[in-house]
Amino acid sequence: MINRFRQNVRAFKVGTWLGWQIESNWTNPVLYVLFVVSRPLASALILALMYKVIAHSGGSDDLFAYIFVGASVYALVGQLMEGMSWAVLEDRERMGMLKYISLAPSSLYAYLLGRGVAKVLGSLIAVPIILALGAVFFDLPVSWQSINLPMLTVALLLGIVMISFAGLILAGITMMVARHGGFLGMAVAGALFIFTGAIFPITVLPGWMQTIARGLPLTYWLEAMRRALLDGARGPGFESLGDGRLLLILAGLTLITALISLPLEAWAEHRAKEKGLLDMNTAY
Amino acid sequence: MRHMPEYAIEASNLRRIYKTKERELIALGGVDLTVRPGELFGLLGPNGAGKTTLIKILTTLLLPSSGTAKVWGFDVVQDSLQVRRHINMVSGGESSGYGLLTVRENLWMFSQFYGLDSKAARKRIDELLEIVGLADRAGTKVSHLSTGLRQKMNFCRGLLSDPEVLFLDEPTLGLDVEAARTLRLYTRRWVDEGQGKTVLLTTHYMQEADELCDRVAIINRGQILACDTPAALKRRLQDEVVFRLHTTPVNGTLSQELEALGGVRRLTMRQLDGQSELNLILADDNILGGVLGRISEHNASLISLEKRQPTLEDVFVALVGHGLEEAEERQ
Repeated sequence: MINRFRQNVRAFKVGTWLGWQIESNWTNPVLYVLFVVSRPLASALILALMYKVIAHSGGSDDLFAYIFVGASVYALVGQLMEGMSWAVLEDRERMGMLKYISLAPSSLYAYLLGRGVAKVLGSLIAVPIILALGAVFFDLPVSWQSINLPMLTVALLLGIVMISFAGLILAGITMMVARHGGFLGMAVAGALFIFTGAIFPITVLPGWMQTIARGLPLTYWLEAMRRALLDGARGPGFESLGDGRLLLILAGLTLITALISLPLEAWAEHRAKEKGLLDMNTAY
Repeated sequence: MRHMPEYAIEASNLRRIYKTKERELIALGGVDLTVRPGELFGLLGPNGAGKTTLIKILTTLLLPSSGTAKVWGFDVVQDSLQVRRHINMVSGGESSGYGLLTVRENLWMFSQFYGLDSKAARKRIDELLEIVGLADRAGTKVSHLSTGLRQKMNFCRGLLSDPEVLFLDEPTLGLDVEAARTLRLYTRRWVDEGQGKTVLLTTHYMQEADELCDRVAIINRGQILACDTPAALKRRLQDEVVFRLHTTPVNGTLSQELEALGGVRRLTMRQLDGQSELNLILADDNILGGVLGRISEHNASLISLEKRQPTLEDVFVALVGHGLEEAEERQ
């Protein structure tokens, strides 16, 4: 049991190491940092400036901060979800290595988690830089004083675990489909962008969409991240929810995501073996 | 003392059917097979015969449609994790590997999947690279390696975990003669010195199977047609005689006429550059006169005539009715 755990930790480390090599090894460190910062920064700026233009001077600073922080930290979601699906696709069809990793005794899931986490490392560098730029150039109310560090740490950890398990579900589905599966992570992350209050409060959504939004762990994660970064500011729709209860709900939903993810992933692997897809090559 | 099962590989009525919307393809049609620990076992057959499907099932990458298979005593479906602890695999003819990593990094990475201590792994990597003649390329990025060199690296990857059972799927495909020879020699040595180390090798190179394997199974269209030592397989043709003839170009009509001749057991014909090659298995020498007569009737001239010892190719022809190349074309 201990040996198996150790082996899985190694697979995770190797996945992270390889993922980092793939992510960062194509250029020099300065250019790499510029690259990882520019993409989410551009997204956040587009959204924030759109808001500024539409609202002219009537918009509140609170809503600007809501959009800017939401769009910035959401980069982590996209990276982690896409990361694992892409790892399946890349290893299977471009590198031709998924079959060799699959027949090794260590856990394929641990390895894929590592690959996903490697993607996030770039974003973990990028998000603080983007927030700092937002504070300097757009009066974003984020400062050392406004950050609740313990809450940020807990929310970030829970978020990474929760998104990783969600990413594993997508990786499992990618295992069962052809090359287009690579866009699955992107598509799901895009869809969740609307439902989870990433750029606008869930209270503006129609009733049925709000119901879905309140069942999604990402909604609570984004709320927790905003509170941790913006001096405890409570987002619309969550005014009556205390910080402790918010984190508890997030932890519970993370556990549920894990409980759904693991059997689903095992089933997906079984189906992939049944259909002979672990070494499929669709001329990607 | 490590546990040694009675059979390293055991398959019983193993079937695999691929279903598509249009049709069902029987890749394995009820394979029964046993390989003992310490054997270098060859699976010989044309492309599409079911060799790779069998290897995929035995390495837990594919589920069988029915039947059972065990590797090192463990069921490939029920105990797949245990199976994976005892095996490794190398496939030929592919350019797999993480191109941005060096040879050493690629191998180190895989050593971690098998739980090897980093220091021990580095030592083993150096030893293996030395054996396959890749030591001077240890620091080279895989994307800069030729297919042959990548294949050598993959061979090292397969041996890195020192598995009980090593599956080699066409390992010398695309390799130059010298590289193929190196890998064959080391494979043989690894089995001979390994005390129970077992290799299942698939190949469509007859000579490779003949020279390397302790036993060979001939597989075609998902069925094992014969299984024995190469010598015993060839002895099946000892009552017959094998000739190879080269003539000026002849057409398929001659082939049909010759097959109809009494005493002609099997015949394969192929067109070479400006001549035809006929491989004949005859009941005895006396039949040859009739064969030459028919050739003459077709206004063809005999260029060369060779009476030779039966090869595994002849065994394949005798079992299947046509040569390996023709079998591949048909499939």
